Amino acid sequence: MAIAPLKAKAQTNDPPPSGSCYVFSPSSSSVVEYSRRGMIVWEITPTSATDYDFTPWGLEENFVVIVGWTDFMEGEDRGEFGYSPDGYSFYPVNNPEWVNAYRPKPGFVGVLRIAPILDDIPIGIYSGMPTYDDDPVIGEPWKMTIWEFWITPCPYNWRPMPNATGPSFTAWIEPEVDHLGQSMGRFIAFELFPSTEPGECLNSHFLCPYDVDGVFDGIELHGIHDNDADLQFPPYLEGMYVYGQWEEDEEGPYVHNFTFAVTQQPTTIATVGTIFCFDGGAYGVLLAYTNMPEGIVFARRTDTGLIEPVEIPYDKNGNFIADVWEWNMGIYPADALGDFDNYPVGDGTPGDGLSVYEEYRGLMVRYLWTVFNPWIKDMFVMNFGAVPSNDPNWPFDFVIPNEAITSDMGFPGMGVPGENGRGFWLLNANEGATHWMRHTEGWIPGKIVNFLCGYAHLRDVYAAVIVPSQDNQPELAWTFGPIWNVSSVPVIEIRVPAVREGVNYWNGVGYQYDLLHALACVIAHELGHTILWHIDHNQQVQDGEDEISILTNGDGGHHVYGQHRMRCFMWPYFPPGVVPDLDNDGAWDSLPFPNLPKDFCDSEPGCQSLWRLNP
Amino acid sequence: MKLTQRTLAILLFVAFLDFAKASPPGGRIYPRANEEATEKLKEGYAAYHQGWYELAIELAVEVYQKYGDVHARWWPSWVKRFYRGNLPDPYDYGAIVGATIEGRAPMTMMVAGVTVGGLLEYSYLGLGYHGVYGKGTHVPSLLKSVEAAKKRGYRPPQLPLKSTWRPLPLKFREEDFFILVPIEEACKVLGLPCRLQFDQKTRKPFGAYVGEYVEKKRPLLVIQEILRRGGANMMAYPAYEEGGIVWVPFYWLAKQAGIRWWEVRDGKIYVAPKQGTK
Repeated sequence: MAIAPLKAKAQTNDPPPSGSCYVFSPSSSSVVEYSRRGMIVWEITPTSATDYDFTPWGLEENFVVIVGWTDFMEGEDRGEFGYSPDGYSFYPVNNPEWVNAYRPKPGFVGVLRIAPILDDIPIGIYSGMPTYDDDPVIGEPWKMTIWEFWITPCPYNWRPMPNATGPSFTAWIEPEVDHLGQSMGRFIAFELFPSTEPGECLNSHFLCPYDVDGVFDGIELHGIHDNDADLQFPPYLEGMYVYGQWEEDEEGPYVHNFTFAVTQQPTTIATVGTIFCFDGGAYGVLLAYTNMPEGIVFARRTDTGLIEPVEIPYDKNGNFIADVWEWNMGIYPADALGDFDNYPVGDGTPGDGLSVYEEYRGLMVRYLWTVFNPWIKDMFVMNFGAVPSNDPNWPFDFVIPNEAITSDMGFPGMGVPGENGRGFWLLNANEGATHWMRHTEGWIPGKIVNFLCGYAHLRDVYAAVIVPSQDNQPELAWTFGPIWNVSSVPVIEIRVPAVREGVNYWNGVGYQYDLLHALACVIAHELGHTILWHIDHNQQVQDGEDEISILTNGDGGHHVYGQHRMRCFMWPYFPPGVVPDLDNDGAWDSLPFPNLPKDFCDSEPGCQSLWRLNP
Repeated sequence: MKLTQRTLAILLFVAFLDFAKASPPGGRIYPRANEEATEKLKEGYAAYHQGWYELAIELAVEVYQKYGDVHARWWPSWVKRFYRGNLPDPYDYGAIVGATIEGRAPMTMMVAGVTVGGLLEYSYLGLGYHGVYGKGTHVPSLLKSVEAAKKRGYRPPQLPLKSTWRPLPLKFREEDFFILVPIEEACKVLGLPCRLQFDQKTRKPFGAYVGEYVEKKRPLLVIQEILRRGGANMMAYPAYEEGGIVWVPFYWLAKQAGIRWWEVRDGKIYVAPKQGTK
């Protein structure tokens, strides 16, 4: 039954309905004054509402109902009222009486006011007579603060480098002032959870800058801490306390592994101006946290909008490799354990033994940190003949000049590692670790270049080691094993005096061989053995049972058929092209070419299409 | 002789079963020489480097006939004198290569070694038997080549009559069958310019220049660096200093002076005439 109003609304000044609401947390049994942005405000609880009207029978109380809700915002800024059974799920409702939750707009941060819209039922509770029908009114609002705690992500373009500074990170709290007019400033803490890859890259130890072991000739000597944190805070950050691990050794106490920093004062914004990076393959996560009334809270990333740690470097696919590098190399998303290098082609066997992560992490190449291309097959060489020569008639400063290895008239040329100047690397002697392997001549030491490996390691990769020799076993040069780590190690002995005597001999009969080029030829020949080992030591080939043996005659990788192959580095005699007087008629069966070769043979199949770097 | 490709391939096929000049991977492993053979091969090695090819061949053939194509390897006396640590077995390739690549000492350049075949090949080449080139790893083939050359009438260069050789007023010492002479005296006798560099503190010579002195030219000898440099890169036996005297292999000085033939007889060094002595 409809109840008619007793009199016109304008004719009364009786009090309007009054009421309010509050937000109560069932879990903590307390009211909620702070809520994180994006969270449902729950559980909204209306207070008891009242309405009194003056009637001819005196002051009469009316029932009050909730006819709506407001957040005092207009248009798109308005949030949504609804029902939530648990504080997480949210259902819009038609009946305002059922409202117990509020869903702010996702971007809203600041002081929130929410209130019920109340209306009376104009019938006196006690008299049952019609009373004054008040206009709906907005109840007393509940004030609270919707806050957010942000952190910036790692810049996409940054990648780790050994002993370099890294990006800055900022964390901040919004709003700066809460609903009570008080600052939202708090202590903000940053904590790094970094990798501890050994060394600073694949072949260089990490010298801890904080552990000074002494001073020698004015140079500080630092202790080796291969397993220190790869990402650290600087020990001093403005406005922050930075904490590390205390250690003590014979030189005394020191602090290292600075992975925790906290602001000295409560603040709404904190910046780590930089982080230190100590490894070319460093990775880790950064957490920022602070204390809110509901407890410890972690920062939300500005890029993803998710409350999650910031990975360093930027690494969406989670393989601990900077996404930017993967994109630049055209391999995103990459398998960190991949080994698919395909240039130069060789026999088509992919890879060089270094995983994608290891190529990215890099190693020291003659003191320079070097990152490799995952598409290009990399081969490493060390020269132990680079000792000064004491020969006044020797035209070079070293017993084996590095140019005899790196020059383009030697090994690094067409169709093999080093083609177009890419993929052939001369290392210093200390840029590899000695590893002994069994050989028929005893235990032979090889040099592993990725010895400081950790994450995503496929296998040990060896450098071909070139050693000068005085003994005439080998008569000219020999190689102990393949470039891969099976059965032996790639150690090459070069009998330099024999090369010189060979050159002198032929130049004495009218040739004009260049000594450096001759050395380069002999070294290239032996380096060729390290990557043609599977041809040399394939029993079927040795027995002449397969088609390759027709070309190699089971001679151990020396390609002998036809003139073209005689111009190859792998010609079994020095100089290439020469064939001894096999029929003892006093004449050479073939004379050497007037010009020494500069490449391996490219016929099909020839050296350029038979080699490989993986077993 | 000209060969068709096919003939060449067949010849090579046979040849490669026997020997190869540049090493096949892993190389040929020779039997080790016993003590007697080692001494003879050491002597032959010194004889070859000093230009006494016939003696070197004689010693190598003697060893070959008794023991086959063996390999001798030894630590030269200069190494034992200078190196203060323990020297490994000279046949221990791993230890020697290891010492080199681990930077303890360039032992691969300090150890000396020779095979019968290698010694024969180089000695016969020295005598002008070109057919032996590349056959040092297969002695029967090498010897066959020499016999064939002899049958064809090849004779190596003849020595000047020994009665015409004259003794040099020069003291010498012998180490590992190498004849060593004091550099200053020898240079005087041979008419070679010589200049020593002395350490300011010890007053001992540490460098020696033979021939016209050229500023910044590398000295023949840097005593302190012998071990670091591996000693005998150029000279089969390196120069060294002892008691202020620099001892240098005579064969090397003789070569600088243009002397082709010389020998040691009755405790004296004799040189053939018209060989550039003054």
